[in-house]
Amino acid sequence: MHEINSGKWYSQASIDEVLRYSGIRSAENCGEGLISEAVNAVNQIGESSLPKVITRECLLHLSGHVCSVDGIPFTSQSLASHLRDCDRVLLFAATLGSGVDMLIGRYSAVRMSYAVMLQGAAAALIELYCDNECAVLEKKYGKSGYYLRPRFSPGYGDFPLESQHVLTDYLSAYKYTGITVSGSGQMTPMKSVTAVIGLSRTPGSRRGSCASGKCADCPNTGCQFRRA
Amino acid sequence: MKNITALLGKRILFFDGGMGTMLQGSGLKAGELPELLNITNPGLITSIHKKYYDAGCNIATVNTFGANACKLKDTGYSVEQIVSAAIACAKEARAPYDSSEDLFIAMDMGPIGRLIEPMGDLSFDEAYSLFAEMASAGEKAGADLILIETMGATYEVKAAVLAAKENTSLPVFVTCAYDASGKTFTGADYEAVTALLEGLRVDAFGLNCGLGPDELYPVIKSLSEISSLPLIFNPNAGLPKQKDGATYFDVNPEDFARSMQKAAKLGLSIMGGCCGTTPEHMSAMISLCRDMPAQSVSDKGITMVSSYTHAVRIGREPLIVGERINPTGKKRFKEALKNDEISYILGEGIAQQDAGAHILDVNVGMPGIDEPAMLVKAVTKLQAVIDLPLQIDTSNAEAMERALRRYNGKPLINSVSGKEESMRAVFPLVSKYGGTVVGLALDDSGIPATAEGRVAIARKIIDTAAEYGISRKDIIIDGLTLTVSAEPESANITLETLRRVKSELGVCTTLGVSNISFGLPKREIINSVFYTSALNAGLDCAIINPKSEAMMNSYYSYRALCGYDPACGEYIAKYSAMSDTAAPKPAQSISLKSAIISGLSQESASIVRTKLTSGCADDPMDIIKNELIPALNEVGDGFEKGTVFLPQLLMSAEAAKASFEVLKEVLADTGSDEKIGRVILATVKDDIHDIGKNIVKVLLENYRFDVIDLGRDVPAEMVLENVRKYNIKAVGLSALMTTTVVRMEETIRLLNRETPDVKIFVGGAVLTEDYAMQIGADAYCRDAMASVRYCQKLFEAN
Repeated sequence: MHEINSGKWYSQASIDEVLRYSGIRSAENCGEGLISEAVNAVNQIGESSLPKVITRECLLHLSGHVCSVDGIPFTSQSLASHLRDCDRVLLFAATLGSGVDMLIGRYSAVRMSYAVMLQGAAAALIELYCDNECAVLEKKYGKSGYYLRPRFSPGYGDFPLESQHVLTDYLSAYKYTGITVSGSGQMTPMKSVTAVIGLSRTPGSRRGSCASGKCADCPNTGCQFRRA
Repeated sequence: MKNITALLGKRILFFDGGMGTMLQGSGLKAGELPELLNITNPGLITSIHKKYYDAGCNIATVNTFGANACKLKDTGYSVEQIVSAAIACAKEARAPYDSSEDLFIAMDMGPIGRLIEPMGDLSFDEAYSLFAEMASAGEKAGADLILIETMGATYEVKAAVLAAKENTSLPVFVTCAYDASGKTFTGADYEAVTALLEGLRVDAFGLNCGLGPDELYPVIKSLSEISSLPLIFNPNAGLPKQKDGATYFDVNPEDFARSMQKAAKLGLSIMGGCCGTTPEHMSAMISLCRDMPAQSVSDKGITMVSSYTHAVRIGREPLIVGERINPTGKKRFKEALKNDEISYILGEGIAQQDAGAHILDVNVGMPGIDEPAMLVKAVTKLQAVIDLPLQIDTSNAEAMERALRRYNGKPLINSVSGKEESMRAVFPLVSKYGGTVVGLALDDSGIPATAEGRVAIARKIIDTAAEYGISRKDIIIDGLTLTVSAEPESANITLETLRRVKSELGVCTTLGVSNISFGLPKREIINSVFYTSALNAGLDCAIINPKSEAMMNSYYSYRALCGYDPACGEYIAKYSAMSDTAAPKPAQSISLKSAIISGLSQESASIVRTKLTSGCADDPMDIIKNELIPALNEVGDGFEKGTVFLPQLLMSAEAAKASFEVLKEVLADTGSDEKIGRVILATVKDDIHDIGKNIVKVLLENYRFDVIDLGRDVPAEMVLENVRKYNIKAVGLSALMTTTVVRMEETIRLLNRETPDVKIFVGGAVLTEDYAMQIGADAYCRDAMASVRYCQKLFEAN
């Protein structure tokens, strides 16, 4: 049985997560063959990735549903509610790089079953990468008495997808990470995340940690990938 | 107009520092487009240029980094307005010094902000047009040169350079943004970028932005070791940091200047700064570096070809050029070309890469097909999934030009000969688009019967290439392999030609090795021995089949024997494992049905092969009806019940496909490879997430549907055009995002209006049954099996 490469940024990847993102709802019954494919997929995605992140600390002013970030207005009830008690935010953009897209495309041409596993591995690894980066931020801002709220991305609730453009422009995300946004608000490289992270002087209830909220905080309860 | 290229190499010239940094310092608001200030506050822009000229900078980079039509579209200003205003500011700043011959104005072109296909959704031609508009406006307004900067994607660089060179007569400088490892964010290494830009014959190139001068020193040093062009170094003032909500850069002017002085000793031609650098940084740098001697730039003589990620150096060690993407003598390949089965070609490419090829030859010439269109398609599709450099192989000049234009990197070009007509057609393309070209040692009199004659032609090719500005490093000579069974001396002549080309002409070599054995039995035996002999005679690039075990045995053995494989590590890794897996599994221990259900592709194909060749050969149609389809149905049912998961469903589909491929050869002969019906699949306009559509395609093909896959980001009109062209009954559309479901609705509306009989089934993460009905679809398919079931019902009913 293969193992996930040790000593790499992706060493802590969860195979259960990879299987879940690949459409395997019960890992216990899927057999060693698929688990071994999932491990290979993690190693290959990890090695073809060129992860990059950029963050920017901004002042936040909340007024009703309008979240003013360094003076840039984002109108969204869900974002405003998510950021209550915050006086600053971190704008956040991270990506695994375009090598991952190319790798998935390569296997889509010849072995779709493995392409699905790679897709699952990439989804798990971008989450892991963002969580790792947020853990670093959590430590850094903890020193100045700030608590981080979970990442909140355009497309969540009524936070419009179109905000990707403003967010990535303000971060100069292309310059520092290579993330671009198409006319319809889709990011390339595809395994990229943009988010707003609230900074608050008070700990959140369930949202004590930036990396801990995830499915429990998401209103989309019908999602097929939702964790129990 | 002032000529900056005349000064390169004579003295060090200085770019200016950051423009954005200065604007932010002057109160540029968040979210404001800096380029609008050229019109709304020209005094501010002029004063910044003036500060840089005052600091001693030679080149003012105008405020047009993002002045492309894409970014300006909602501003109410045209590209020309913004660019001419920007250049007017720089001219005004320069006016007090105008008698000076060493002050220049650079038209600045940054990335468009969208990636080009296949990585993004912008077409190469659109990108070209956006840059062409900017470059033309820059020249018209009086720029002295064009600076293409902060680039990360080589394809975008190529579009920008071609646009600048074809639409202006200005010198073209290019700088890319690298990380500390020497890679751009699309994964291109500095060698790949160097090969591309030298090929495109830019006037100077280098790096900017990203990091500070110390972090980027190793990268500029590496560039200086391989570049044959003048180098530019414009780093940031360190890394962006934040304090109290404000961004600052952490390298002060004095430290910046000292680091740049160290870098200048590498022989740089132009130096400046990027983000975070100010007139103070430039002034400090210039006072330390102004009097340092400039170094003239020499041709490093490195033969390189490249893809969009890496370069392959020719001449350092033996290389393999995979020969399998070529229809000559291949029935299945010809059929794939005829049917536009691009996935078959991609499969051949990937298999050769996996087998150890370093470069792939691409030849799609065949009577009855549109070779220029097919070659462009093959090259671009291969580059979407394979990162090896390609050898563009065609005798059709139009096909060659179109493929070279769209190739992302510096290709090998196969080929030019000593015929005047050939050289007149090919060399201008090589000097325009870049490339290393294979020179065939033949001319209007045919193939010389002696090595001496072939070497003379090679010399003529090299000399003529020089007249077109093509360096000898970009010529590799093919001494020509003739069939030994027809010409007993041919092998010796070829080998002698190889030796003499290396020793007398000093250029690299290539050979199509397998021709030697034509007409002989057990060709691999002769081929592999001839291959080894050729390697000993100095063969650099062998055009062979990397899937041939005998050839690869020669390759690995030669590497181990001749010092290319330290401690025989590669050889041991390859062959020691082999003994453990040498015993093949008995293929017949399981049934075909079980093999498919278990997703065992090789076993499935092997069982079918045995069934077809055994004494009581089974009827191919019976195998399909009695074993393949029931196996697929069982897996499909399991998937619907939730006992089989998606990857397993697809593994079974792949095993079935492997079986069908074996059967196809027999069925094609008997003409009974009948399909149930033809279906179009497309991911709608503006949507680039196509994995779901690809899954549906694999399954539909398995259930004997003929799938026309239009790909992703497909305009409604293209779907309609193909529906009419192929007389289609069913169309499957996918969309992942709420923003692109709108496009799906538009496509459905168009099809319903123009071709009301066509049935449309849809799928995608944000769709539901109700939503699908609301936008006018005939069916919502929640997963791939549902698509199969819908099509089965639809075609059975008819």
